[in-house]
Amino acid sequence: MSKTVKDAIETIPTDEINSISLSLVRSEILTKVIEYCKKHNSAQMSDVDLMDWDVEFANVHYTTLFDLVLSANYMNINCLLDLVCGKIADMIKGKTPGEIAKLFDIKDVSTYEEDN
Amino acid sequence: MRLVMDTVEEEFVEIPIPIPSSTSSSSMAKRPCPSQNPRMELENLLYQFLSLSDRPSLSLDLSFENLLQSMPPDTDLIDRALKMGSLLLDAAKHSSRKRASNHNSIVWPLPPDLTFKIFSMLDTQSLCYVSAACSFFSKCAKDPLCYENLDLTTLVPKVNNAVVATMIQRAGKALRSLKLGVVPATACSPGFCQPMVSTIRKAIVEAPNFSWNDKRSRQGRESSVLTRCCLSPLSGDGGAPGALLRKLHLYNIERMDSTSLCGALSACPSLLDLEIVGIHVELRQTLMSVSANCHLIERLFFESSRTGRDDSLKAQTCSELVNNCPNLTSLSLRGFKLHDCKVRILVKGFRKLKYVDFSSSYSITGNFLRNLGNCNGGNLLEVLILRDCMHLKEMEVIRFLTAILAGDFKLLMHLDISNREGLACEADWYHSSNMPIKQVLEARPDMRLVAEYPSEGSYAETFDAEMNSDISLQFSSPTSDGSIFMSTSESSYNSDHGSGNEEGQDAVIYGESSDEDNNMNL
Repeated sequence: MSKTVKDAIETIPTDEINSISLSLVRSEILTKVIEYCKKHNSAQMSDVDLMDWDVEFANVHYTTLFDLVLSANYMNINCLLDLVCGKIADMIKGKTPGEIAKLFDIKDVSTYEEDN
Repeated sequence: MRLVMDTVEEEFVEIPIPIPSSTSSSSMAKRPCPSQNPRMELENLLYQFLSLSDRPSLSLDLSFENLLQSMPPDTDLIDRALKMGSLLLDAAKHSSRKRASNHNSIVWPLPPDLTFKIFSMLDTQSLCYVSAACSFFSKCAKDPLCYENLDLTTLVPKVNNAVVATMIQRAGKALRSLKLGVVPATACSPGFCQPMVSTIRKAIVEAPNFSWNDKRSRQGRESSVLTRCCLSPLSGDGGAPGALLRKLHLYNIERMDSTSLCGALSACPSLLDLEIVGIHVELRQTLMSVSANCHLIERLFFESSRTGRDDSLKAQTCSELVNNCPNLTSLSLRGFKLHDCKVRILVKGFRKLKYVDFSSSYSITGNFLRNLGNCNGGNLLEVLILRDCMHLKEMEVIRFLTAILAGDFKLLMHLDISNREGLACEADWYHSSNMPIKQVLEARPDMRLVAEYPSEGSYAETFDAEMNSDISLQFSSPTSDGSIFMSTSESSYNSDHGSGNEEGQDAVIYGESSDEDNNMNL
């Protein structure tokens, strides 16, 4: 599922693989990514159930979501990336600018002119 | 100048370094002793000056005035103060911005390309809101990919030409879908409760080539109405925005006319899906423009703004449309005056036609349905909707249903022949027991047949305006079984048409006169 891992496996001769380094991914996030990949590869659940599971999976604090986005991007797992980006987009939808800034603790710098 | 510097230094020497008081929240920590480095000296001076803000009895204006009075009259101290004050203000603002940006880049750790990805999943209104939240978002939100699908429809007129122009310009050649106009509340999805334009204004006010403010000062008043040339940006920039546009949906744009719509269509050669509702344009001209420009079109949905009065369609227009737009699979022409012969050209001619909707049409009797099942154009039909066609004859419908029973129209999945005034026929309207609806339902269980008619039970004496269709159709009456339906649909009932036999008769005979025109075998 992860294109990065797949590419790594393909480029390194098989008897030399001991470990594939994923230096940018923290261990707790990697755990979640592995959980996602296992679930989606198992093909035990129906599509509808899998969608419900995805919703539950993505129902985490947005800081975790950011980590997942960065990890999924690094590991090149497109379906996970779409899922988590979609979840963040859902968090933004329907909110006013002030609410969005408050949600993500973003400071407003737009009142000042741009530096050149 | 040297004189002034010395004086200032002396001033500083006399003022004791303030001890941070417990009540001051911005008390400054003591700095280590400065070296003789001139840069450090300046920083130290700055530090000392800013420490003054802790003093409870600070009256900078008084001190400055006193200093000024002790100076020779030609002193430039005021200019210096203005200059230094301004420099300090700018420096503070700059640093504040820098820190806020750094803070933001920590709380929002995603690089621009991932941010675009998220923003491209937002609807247009949310995109404008997020763009106003901070300058980084504003930059990201300007990426063309975020503007691929523009939905600028509103509940009431709020979006004006300038907004449309900006959005289209931002999309550039990434533009794929544009929805524009006023969509009434009943048709609209929930969540559209906040005005969009005020946030758009804030979000796009930084755009350098955007003359919003100029326009406002010239006219003195914002116009929130779309004018006839609101779609001209599609042709702008060498036609780039319109070139790859696939979907164009326009609703209730009062000031748009045929010329401007046709102009817009000429900029959209890749159009696949065109939906026009409530626009004051002529059917013939619009279809001619479509057949001239939009050869790839697959879906055409056209609802008239003046129900029943647009009689412009000509046979030649139909032929041209059929020849030039062979990919059409879905055709809806609602509320126009259509004649069977012309409709027949359309339905027979489009080889891939699957979905047909001629609801609320005037003049068509259903004659066009004859012998349609065994030729190219008709056999692929999956959906046929002829709801509330004023002159649709019961006889033609019966003939059609019989053809279905005989095995034609094998792919037909959905048929809607409901009519709130009943079908046109010779005798009383409620003798629709001749219609082989039950047989069709049995023979074709895969098909959904919607046939709602006024039932016999809804007479004037028992009927009043508040009754809705659900109640009236539950009247059990032995002679009327025309109210069989598979789906529970709307059709709010008009009390005028629910009256007794005599009026019912008058209402249905009007279909007779158009018989001769439509008796052509094509």
